[in-house]
Amino acid sequence: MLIPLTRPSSSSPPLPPPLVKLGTQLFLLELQGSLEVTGTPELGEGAVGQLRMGEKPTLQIGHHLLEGKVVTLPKPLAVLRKRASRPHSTEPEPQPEPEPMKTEDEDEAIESPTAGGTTYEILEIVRLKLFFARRPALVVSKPGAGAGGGK
Amino acid sequence: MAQPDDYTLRLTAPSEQQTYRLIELPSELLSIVEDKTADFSLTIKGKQSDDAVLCSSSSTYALKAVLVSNSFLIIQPPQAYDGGSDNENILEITGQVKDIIEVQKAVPKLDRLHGLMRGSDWTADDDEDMGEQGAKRRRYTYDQVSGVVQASADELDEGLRAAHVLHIAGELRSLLPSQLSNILETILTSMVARSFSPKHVPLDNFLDAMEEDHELPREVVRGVIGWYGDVSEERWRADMAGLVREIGLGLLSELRDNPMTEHEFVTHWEKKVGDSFTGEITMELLHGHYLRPEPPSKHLLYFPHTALPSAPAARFADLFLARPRWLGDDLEPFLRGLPGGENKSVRDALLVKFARKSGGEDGCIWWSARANYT
Repeated sequence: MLIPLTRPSSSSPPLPPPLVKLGTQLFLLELQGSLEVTGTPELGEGAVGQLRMGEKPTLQIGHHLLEGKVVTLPKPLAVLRKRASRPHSTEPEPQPEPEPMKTEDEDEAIESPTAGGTTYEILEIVRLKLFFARRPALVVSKPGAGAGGGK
Repeated sequence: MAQPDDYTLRLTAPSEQQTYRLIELPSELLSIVEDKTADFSLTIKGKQSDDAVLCSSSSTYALKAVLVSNSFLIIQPPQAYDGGSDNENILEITGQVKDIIEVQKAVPKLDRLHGLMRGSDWTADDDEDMGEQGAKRRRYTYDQVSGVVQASADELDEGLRAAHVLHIAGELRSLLPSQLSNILETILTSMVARSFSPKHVPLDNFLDAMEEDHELPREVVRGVIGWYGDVSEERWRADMAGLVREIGLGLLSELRDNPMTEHEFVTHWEKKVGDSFTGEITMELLHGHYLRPEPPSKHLLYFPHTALPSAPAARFADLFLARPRWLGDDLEPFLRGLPGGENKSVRDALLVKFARKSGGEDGCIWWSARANYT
């Protein structure tokens, strides 16, 4: 099967000017560990935290304050977005191998040349990342408005 | 209230979540992606059970997903305005990625091509037996083959050519060596009979001649001559050495059943090629495909480098199994097929690694197997 890589077809909104050096449409934020989300946030509700881009970028999630820095990636990364054949049926959990396993002879099986119309769109080539490597510091009194619904 | 450098991060609604992948770009790929003017062709190829490869138009790259302990969040401005007044200070986490795909240049995996082409041989009386056996036969189109053979377009074309595969009526059909030799001999005969000059063969006349005199379909002849020299709309500039070499290779492969001395072989070859083209014949054309006899035997040995393993250690083992010691010059053509083997310094490095050098009485250098006690 063939899965073509394409250049972006739709133009997403550009990043705000202070962030443009990180990428034009999106940027990468690297965290130690991962972001665990429980429940399904409604639109507009799932606020995670505050990102402050000063001299030192900081990320505040609830009572935790992370200090980060802008790091050049060892190799540029392309950010790919999977596009299924049916653009409007967005399945929440696209399995990597949705088709049933077929029993087939090694050499004889020819699948349909295109893998159900799946393509990967190259959204962005990023060379820098925003990296939060340190352990979070505890913030007792929240400065400013803060993130209301932070977890 | 919010400062311009302050952003609220929020999660996108689950319905808008997407699958993202991060893929490392080596400099060659980077230039393909960034060059907005060039033809852009990058494709992931293979069957579901294969390790995926990424093909540009000329090269193949192996893909390997590497799990990282950190996670990458993909941050974007909101896709649609939803009424909030300070919308410009909102960023959305649209995806989370836990692995990075590493990309490494790889050799094309053309082995599958041979399996696919088995049983698709083209024969001169092709049309007649289609009725009886046609239904059982497997025939593939170029698109089908290119979907499962993990190689870039250029590498696949090269592979098809090396395997002598023709495009006939939209299908790929391989040509058996014996058939190919017959066609090539017919081509040479025709060129002499119709006095075409090899440097400038008028294409239409030539194809007509082949069809009239030998009942060879135009498509077949057109495909075959494309492998020897360049063909343009109206003429074919024949690569006579290549054509003569191919006939020689065909004869060499018959040596197994019908042993000959070198002199007998050359005479036989000359007979096949015909008087007009014997000037092209030299054993050098067949370097890397035969071995000269060792003293007790007088017969030339068919020993194609293409049948040797492509991994250096295995190839040297096979070479020293065939001959315990080799002269440097004799060995060279058999090393060319190794990765980087066109380069003399690479070949020398491989020799030092896998073989032992010794000087002969008359000043020539012999290579023999390096004893391996580990």
